[in-house]
Amino acid sequence: MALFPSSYIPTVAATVTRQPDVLNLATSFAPRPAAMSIYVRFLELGTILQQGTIVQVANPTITQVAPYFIVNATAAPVYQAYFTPGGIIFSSSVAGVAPVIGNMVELLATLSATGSTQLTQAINGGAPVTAAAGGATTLPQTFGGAGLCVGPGFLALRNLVIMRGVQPFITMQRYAGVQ
Amino acid sequence: MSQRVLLLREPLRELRYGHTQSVYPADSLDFTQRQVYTIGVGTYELTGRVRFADNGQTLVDLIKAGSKKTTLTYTPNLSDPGVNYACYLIKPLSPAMLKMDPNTGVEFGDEDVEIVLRKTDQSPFAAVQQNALLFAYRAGDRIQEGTYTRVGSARYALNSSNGYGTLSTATTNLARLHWISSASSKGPRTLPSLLFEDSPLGTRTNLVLQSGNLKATSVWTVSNVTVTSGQADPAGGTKAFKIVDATTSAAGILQEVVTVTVSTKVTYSCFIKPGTNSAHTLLFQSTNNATNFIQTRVTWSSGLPTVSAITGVLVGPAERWMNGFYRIATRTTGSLTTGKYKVVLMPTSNVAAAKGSLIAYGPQAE
Repeated sequence: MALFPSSYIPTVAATVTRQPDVLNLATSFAPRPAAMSIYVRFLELGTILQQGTIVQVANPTITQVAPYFIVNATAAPVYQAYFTPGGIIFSSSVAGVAPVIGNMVELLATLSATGSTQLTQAINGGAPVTAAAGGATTLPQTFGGAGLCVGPGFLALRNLVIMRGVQPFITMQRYAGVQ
Repeated sequence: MSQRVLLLREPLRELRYGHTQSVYPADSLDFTQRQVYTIGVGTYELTGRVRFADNGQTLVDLIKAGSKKTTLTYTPNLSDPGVNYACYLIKPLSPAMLKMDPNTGVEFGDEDVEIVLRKTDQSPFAAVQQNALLFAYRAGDRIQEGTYTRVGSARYALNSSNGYGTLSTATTNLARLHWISSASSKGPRTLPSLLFEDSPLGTRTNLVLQSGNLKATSVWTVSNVTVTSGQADPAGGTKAFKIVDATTSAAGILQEVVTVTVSTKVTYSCFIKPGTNSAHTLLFQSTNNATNFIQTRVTWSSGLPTVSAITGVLVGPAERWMNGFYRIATRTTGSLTTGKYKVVLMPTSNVAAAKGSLIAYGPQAE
């Protein structure tokens, strides 16, 4: 389903299909499940319209293996911070506020020491809006895999910063060089 | 003893990343020519200062072991012991002497030493800041510590000389550093980004045949227009086409019948720029012309487009490219049934009496 344009695909005598990008930014990335913050800044190119995923912590491919922590889009559509130790989902999303294609989006997804997630979102440099935190759960000993998988989605990635602890939005922006 | 451990009182300070390699440059006498010879790919190193060391003998023993090329394991944060690096000590080597840490006194106090580490596999050090940073990526950084694949080529915007983006091609397995605009897609492209396209709903296919040759009569049909090749295009070449409607008796069009193979919403996009008039129309319609599923009107003023969707939904802002082109995209409101439809390029505002021209490149229906 093409709800938005993708990059140009030249054709000649037959239709042409562009194959997907497959990206793992750090194949050995395997932090222990602990309080952490994920900050990502990107140009929205359609991920929000296809329930896509921005980034997955400690997963080598787009197939998630629990436990995992990801930032993805829901059917609403809004973005959410999504953590599952397996079988149960704990998430946080900014209800009713979704970027549109062409927006520059900043997302901060935090995971607390009690297993509670929380999402903060800023669109086009506007004021960050913080969603209600998700429910708490015991953090597992390890994540399901190793790696830092991007996607599946449509985005132009500008920055990705992952830090220990629950960090303020402005701190993450500074590490990313935004502030 | 099975192991010796030097517990740092403070994380390594003044961390600096480095690279060392045998490089032999040579300039001509007038400095107009330069040659560089390198041997191998070199190796990455990390320099840092051990501060406030109150266990000088253990620190000296570390230097002694490192001088014999004993592998040292550097763990930036013991709270995360899984993150560690097997290293060789490059500096200092015996004979070596620690110096007094100036912040604790030069007569009675702690000691410090600057060390240079090199990973045993010569690869770069990842984020080694002890305090909080686990990972950092900024568009344009290396991704060699990860993996990237894509079968086949794909397009992206290179930051061309005028700043508005040159449509460029990345070959198989080449990640795309795509330049984007900061404020809007109509501005100069001043920001690098890593372009990523992978749909959870399946791959993308351009249904328009001969998208690069609008004069291919095998698929493109003219009606009251002439098509001229050789126009400057958004890729920096001359493969755009001028479509001219010189008649006042009918609204001239260039069209192609495409086949939708999956019942889905369709997005129709095209790179366009104005010719001699200021209004153009893009259509995605039924083959009997009875129904427009997309009708996009583009009007121009001083080279800037105003885009409206008479039928369908506009998707994203008009995206500016080099040579004055804008990429316009509209999708159908609802899903289409499988079957044949027409992609239409109209140099006018769909008025028979209107004349004009449109310069087009790369129509795409997906």
